[in-house]
Amino acid sequence: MMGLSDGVYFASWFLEFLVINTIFALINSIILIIMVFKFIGFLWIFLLMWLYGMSVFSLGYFFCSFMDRTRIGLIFAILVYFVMYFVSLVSTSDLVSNTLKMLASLLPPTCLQLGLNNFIYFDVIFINII
Amino acid sequence: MEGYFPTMADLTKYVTSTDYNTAGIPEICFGFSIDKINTKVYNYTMNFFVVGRSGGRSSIPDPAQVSQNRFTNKPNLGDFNKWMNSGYLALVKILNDIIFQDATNTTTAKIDFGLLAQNYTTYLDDSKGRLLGAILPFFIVIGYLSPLIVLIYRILSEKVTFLINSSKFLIFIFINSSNYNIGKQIKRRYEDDGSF
Repeated sequence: MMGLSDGVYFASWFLEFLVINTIFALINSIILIIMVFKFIGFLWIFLLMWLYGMSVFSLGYFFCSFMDRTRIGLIFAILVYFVMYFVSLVSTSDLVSNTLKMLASLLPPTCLQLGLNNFIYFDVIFINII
Repeated sequence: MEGYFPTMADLTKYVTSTDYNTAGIPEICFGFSIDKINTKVYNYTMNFFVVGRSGGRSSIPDPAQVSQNRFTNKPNLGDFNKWMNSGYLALVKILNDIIFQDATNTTTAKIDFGLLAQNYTTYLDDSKGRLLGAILPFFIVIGYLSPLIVLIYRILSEKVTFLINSSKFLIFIFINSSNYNIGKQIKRRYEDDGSF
C-alpha cells in the first residue's frame, strides 16, 4: 500500500499498537496491583494484560481482513467481540471440561476471563490461608 | 503385584535389588510391610515409590482445582467410594483387612467403613472472589474495546482511502487511454479519407 512492501506496512501497525498496548497494560497492571490483587506479582498481571492487548490487536486485524467498509466493520467487530465475551461467561462453569476451556481460550475475552478467575482464586486462597 | 512383605527389611531388599524393574522383579508403586510383634501389637509401614507414569488424569475430586472441586457446588454425597478405593484410605483399608484377617484367623474377614465428605462452601466458595471474577474481566474487556475500535477504524479508513485512490487512478487511466484511442481513430480516418 502507498508504495510500501507488505512487511513494512504490517510492521508499522504492529509497532504502533505495541507501544500503545504496553502503556495501556502498564496502567492497567498498576491499578490492579494497587486496588485488587495483594499477593499476585506485578509481572504476572502485566504479562496477562499485555498478552491480552496483543491478542485484541490480532483480532482487530483479523476483522479488518474481511471488511471494506468502516461502519459495517466496526459494528461487526464490536458484535463479535461481545459474543466472545458471552462465551467466557459460560466457560467459567464447573461443568465445563478443561479441554473445552482450553478450546474456548482461543477467544481473547474468554482467555482473559479464565486467567483472571485463576488469579483471583489464588489471591483469595492466599488471603484465607493467612 | 499383590501381597505384602513380611518385614520392612524384605521390602528394602526388594526395591534396592539390582534386578529391580526387570521382568523378574517388577516395579512397584506402593510397598507394605507388616511386623506382627504379638497377637495384640502389629507394626506396619507404607512406602510410596515413584513410578514413571505421566499423562494420567485423576477421576476423584481434587479440591486444589476449582473446576474439579465439587465441594463448592453441593454437598458431596456420591464420591466417597472414589476416595475409599484410592489414595491413603485405600492403603489403610488393605492393611486393616490383613491385620484383621490375621488376628481373627479368617480369610474373609474385612472392615468396611463409610466416608462422607464435609461441605466447605464457606471456605472455598468465596462470594467476594466470585463477584470480583465476574466484574473485573467485564471492565477490562470494555476497557480494551476502545483501542480495538480505534484500530479497526484507522485500518479500515486507510483501506477505504486506498480503494478510492485506486479507483480514481483506474478511471484516470481509462479516460487517458480512451482519449488517446479516440484521437488515434480520428487521425487515421482523416488521413485515409480526408474526412470524418
